[in-house]
Amino acid sequence: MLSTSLSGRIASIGGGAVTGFARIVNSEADLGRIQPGDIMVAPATDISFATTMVLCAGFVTETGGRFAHAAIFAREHGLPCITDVADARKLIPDGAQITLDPELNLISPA
Amino acid sequence: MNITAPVAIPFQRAIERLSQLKLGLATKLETLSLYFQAKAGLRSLVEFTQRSPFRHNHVFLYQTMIRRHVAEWPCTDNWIAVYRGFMERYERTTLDYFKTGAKLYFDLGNGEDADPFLIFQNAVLSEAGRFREGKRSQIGLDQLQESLVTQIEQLLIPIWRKDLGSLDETLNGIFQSLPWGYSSSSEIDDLFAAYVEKSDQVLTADNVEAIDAETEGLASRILRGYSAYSCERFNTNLVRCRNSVQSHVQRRARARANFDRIAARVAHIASLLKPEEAEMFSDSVAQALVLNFCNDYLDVKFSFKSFVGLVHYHAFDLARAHADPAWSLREMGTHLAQHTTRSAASTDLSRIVQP
Repeated sequence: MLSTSLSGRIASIGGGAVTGFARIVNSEADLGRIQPGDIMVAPATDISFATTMVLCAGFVTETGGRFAHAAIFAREHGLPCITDVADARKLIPDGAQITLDPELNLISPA
Repeated sequence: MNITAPVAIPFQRAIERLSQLKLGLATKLETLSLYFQAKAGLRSLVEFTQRSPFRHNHVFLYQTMIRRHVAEWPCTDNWIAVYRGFMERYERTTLDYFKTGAKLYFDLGNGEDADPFLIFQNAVLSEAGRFREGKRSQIGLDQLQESLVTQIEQLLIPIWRKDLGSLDETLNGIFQSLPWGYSSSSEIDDLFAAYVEKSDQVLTADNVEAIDAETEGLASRILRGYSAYSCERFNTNLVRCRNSVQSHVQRRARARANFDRIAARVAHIASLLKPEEAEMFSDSVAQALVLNFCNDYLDVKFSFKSFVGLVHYHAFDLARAHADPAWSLREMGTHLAQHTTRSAASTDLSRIVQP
């Protein structure tokens, strides 16, 4: 379970807050673990993630700003995204149910 | 595209420039990559990637390498970051990066005749050029986009009212917006949807050429642009897309509606400005969309994230095999220059790819 709330840079508001299971993605090899509605937690994303990212409810990345791939993808598809969340993969347990609220810039336990 | 004049003038100007860019630089790069593919052979390229130990994570490794040596890339410091002239240098650098990657591919294929110093030097100078126009450079793509954000903010803050909504959201909309078909994610979506209709087959090195012929070049177009010639990556994406063809239609409709909404909003904002400021605003929005296209389409398909990026990474890795990977770029290069021999094969000019 996520023990504390995190924040970063608001990259995309999308449709507002979403709740889902956090899925840690360290590399392309982890993409097969993503289920529809998951919230992807990754160091960053790139185009090779795109066909999986459409399944997600939102994104948290450890790096990047307004022009990062995850930010652009999220805005294009109307999904919430918070970037630049230091150590997100260490602090957010894989499979934990979390709420990603881009309007409040908060990632918190659901 | 459902935009009616004169309400959507800022985006209309942007779309005209995007069309020119797509017909211009994007087409040049695509032509070059087709020529390279024909010269190297589709099957050979697929097998190269298949054998590459970096095929799953070369983008991450490349980014790590850039950051590790971030202060060392030979560059021009403290030059001026302005949009004027950027597209000419971006074009020149992107074309050079691609051509160098193609040359490196053939040079690496020379086996024992490969010249480690020349390969390493070519890769370093090529990346230095790409780096200069790229995200981390003081005069590169991201810096120009940030400058545009500031310019547009300065135009809008004096006229901003609560009923216009969030200024930040409006800026995000401008700096995300590309019409459907101009972003990499929309193109990959369209290409796989078309592939699913034409062929239901997974790709292997053995069948790739036959399936490419059957699909009239669609298979290789995806491999070339979005898979770094990896059949594994292609097949993984194919399985995902097969199960979501209906959603592709919905995503396209939603993205088009989203774009039209932002276009109308931007046009409304322009109508609130004085004429000369509206003109500056329209110009800035057009520049923003052009830079979006560079960031979200050209860089994705033709920069270090592409097959030529994988090849560049192999060139860097070759240097590490002959030198200490903990050294700086300069130290590695110096060591290679002093302790490896020049190869006659590396001066073969026919290995420079020119359409």
